[in-house]
Amino acid sequence: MHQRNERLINAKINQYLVPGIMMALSLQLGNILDTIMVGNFLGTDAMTAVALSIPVETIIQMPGYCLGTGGALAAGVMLGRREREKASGVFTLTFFTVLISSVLFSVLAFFVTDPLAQMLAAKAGVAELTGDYIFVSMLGAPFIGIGLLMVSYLGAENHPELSSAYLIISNVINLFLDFIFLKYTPLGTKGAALSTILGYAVGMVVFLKYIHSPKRMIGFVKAPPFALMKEAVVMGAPVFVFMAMSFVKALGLNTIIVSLTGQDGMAIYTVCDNILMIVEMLSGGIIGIIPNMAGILYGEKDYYGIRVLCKRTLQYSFIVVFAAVVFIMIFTVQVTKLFGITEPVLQGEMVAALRIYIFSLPFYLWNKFLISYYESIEETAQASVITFLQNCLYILPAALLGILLGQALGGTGVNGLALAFICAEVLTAVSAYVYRKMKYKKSDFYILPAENDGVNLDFSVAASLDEAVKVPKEIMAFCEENGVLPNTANLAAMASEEMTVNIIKYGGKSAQWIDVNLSIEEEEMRLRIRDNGKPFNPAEYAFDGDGYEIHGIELVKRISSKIDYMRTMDMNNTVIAFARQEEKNGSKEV
Amino acid sequence: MTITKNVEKEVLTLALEGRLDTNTAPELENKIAEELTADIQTLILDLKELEYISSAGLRVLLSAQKKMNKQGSMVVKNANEMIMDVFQVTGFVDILTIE
Repeated sequence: MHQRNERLINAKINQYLVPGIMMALSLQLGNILDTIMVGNFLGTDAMTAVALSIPVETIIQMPGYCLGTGGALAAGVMLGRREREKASGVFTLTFFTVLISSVLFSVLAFFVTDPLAQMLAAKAGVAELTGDYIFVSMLGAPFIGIGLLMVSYLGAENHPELSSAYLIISNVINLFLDFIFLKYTPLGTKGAALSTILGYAVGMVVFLKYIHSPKRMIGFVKAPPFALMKEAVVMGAPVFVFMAMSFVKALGLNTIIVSLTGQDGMAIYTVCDNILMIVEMLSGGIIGIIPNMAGILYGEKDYYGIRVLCKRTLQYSFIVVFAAVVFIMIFTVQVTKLFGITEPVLQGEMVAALRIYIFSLPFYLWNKFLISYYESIEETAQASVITFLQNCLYILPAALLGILLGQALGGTGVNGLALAFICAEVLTAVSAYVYRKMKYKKSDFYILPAENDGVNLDFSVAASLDEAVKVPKEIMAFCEENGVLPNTANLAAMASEEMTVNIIKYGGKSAQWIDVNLSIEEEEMRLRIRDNGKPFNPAEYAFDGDGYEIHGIELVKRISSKIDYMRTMDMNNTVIAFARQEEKNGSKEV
Repeated sequence: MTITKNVEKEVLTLALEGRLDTNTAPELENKIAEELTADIQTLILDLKELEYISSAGLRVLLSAQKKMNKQGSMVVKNANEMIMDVFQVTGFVDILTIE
C-alpha cells in the first residue's frame, strides 16, 4: 500500500498562510499601531484612554464582523449548490443591515459618547481623551462595518488576494495618517481614531475592482426574502458569542485594573495585551487556517488529513510563539520603549510584568487552537466551554486575586496580574482536558479516530497520463487484497481513471497533484479524488449526446451510486460511492 | 495491450489482450483505422484476454460500431464477467452485438 502524500494539504496550508495572517492583521494591527503611535506621540494617559475604549470598538465591529463572517459562510454554501440568487440575497440583506446599524452608531455618537467615556474612563482620569477616541470611531462606524463585511465576502468568492490588498492599503494608510495626525496636528486621540477610519475608507477602492470583476458571483438583488437573514445569523452566531465574550473580558478587566492599580497598571496591561495581539496576528493567522480546511476534511471523514493539518499548524504556531517569547525576554526594555514608556519606575514595573506575562502565550495559543479545532469538527459544546473559560470564568477572578495578592505582598499588583494570565490559561487548558476526558474517556485531544473509517488506501499521483493509468491498477489490487468482488472493484477502478484523466486534461496548470483515497466499508466503498485544478463539479455536469457517444463523467455517474462534490480552498473534492449491498447478498462477504 | 489480427475473406478479427485504458485506446483506434478497409464486411472483437476497459476503450468500441453500421456489422465476443458488467451498467448491451 502506498504512503499518503501530504503535498496537497501542505501546499494548501502554505497558500492560505499569508491571507490567514492578513485577516488576523486586519483585526489587530489598527489597534496595535494606534497604541504604539499614541504612546509615543501623546503619552501614557492617551494610550490608557485608547485601551479603555476597546469595549466600544468591539461593539462597533460586531455587526460587520458577525454578519460578514456568517453571511459569507452561508453564501459560500449556497454558491457550492449553485444557488447564486440566494447567495446574492444573503449578501444584500447583510450589507444593508450592517450599513443601517453602522449609521445608527454614527448618529448615537452625538448622544452617548460622554456617558460612555465617563463610565469607562472616569476612574483613570482620562474620560475626555477616551471620549474623543470613541466619538470619531462611532462616527466612522459605516466604514468599519462595511469594510469588515466585504473582506469576508471576498474570501467566500475565492479572492484572498483582494482581501490582502484591502487590508494592506487600509493599514498602511492608517499608519501613515497616525504619524501625520499625532505628530503634526493637535487632534490628539481623535487623530488616532480618524486615521483608522480613513484607512478603512481608502482601502475600499479595492472593492470597486471587485464590483467590476466579471467573475463576481455575488451581487445586489432586489427585495430578497428576509428569511435568508436567518442563515447568516446562525452561521455568524459563534463569532457573535466570541465577540460578546471579548466585550465582557475587556470591560471586566479594564474595570478591575483601573480600580485597583490606577492608570499605571492600565498602561502595563495595555502593553501586555498588545504583545498578545502581535503574537496572535501571526500564530492566530496560522490557526485561522483550521476552520477553512478541517471542516471539509471532517466532512470527508479524512481523519488522517485532519491530523496532518493540526500538526503542521501547531508546529508553525509554536515556532512563532517560541520566537516571540525569546525576543521579548531579550528585548523587553526596547519593547516598552516602542510603546513610548520611558519613565524609569513605570518601565521597570513593565519589564518585570512582561517577562512573567509572556509565559501565558503558549497556553493561550493551545486554548485558541482547541477552540478553532473543536468548532471545525462540530464539537461546538467543547469549543464554547473553552471560549467561556478562557475569556470570562478564570481570567476575571484570577486578575482580581492576582492584583490583591501582589498588593498584599507589598507590590503594585501588576506582577500578580501578569501571573493571573498564566494561571487563567493553564486552568483553561486543564479544565478543557478534564471536560474532554469526562465526555470521551479514552480519546486524545483529536477526539476523532486515529484511522479513517473502514479499510483505506491513500496515495497521491502527479497529474500525468502515465500516472493516471496506475490509479485503477492500484485500486483493483487493493480491492482484491480486501475481498471486494472484482465487478465492484472494476467499477471503482474505471471511475478513478475517468476522474484523474479528466483532471489532467481540463484541470489547467495548477492541477499538479491528485490525492486519491479509497475507503472500503461494509455497506459501501467510497472513492475520494482531490485536486487543486480549475473548479469542476462533476455532480452537476450534464453531457448531451446521442446513444453513440460516451462521456467519462456521465459514465462515472452511471456506474456509481452517488457523487458528492465540494469546492473548498481552491480544491475540488469529489467523493464517489459504490454500493456493496449486492456483494453482501451474493456469495462473498468482506 | 496486445492486439492480434486475423483476416479471413471479408471478416476481420482483432483479439485484445491486457488493458484497454487511456494510454492503450489510441493503439486500438489506429489499428482499426489501418485494418478496416472497404472490403471488410464483419469486424469481430475478441475480448477473451482483455482484463480491463475504461471509457477511452468504450469510446473506441463505439466509434468502430459507427463505422461498421455503414459497411457491415460488428460483433464483440468472449468478454469476461467484469467487462460484461461494465457493458450492462453503461447500457452498451443495447448498442453492441455481444456474443
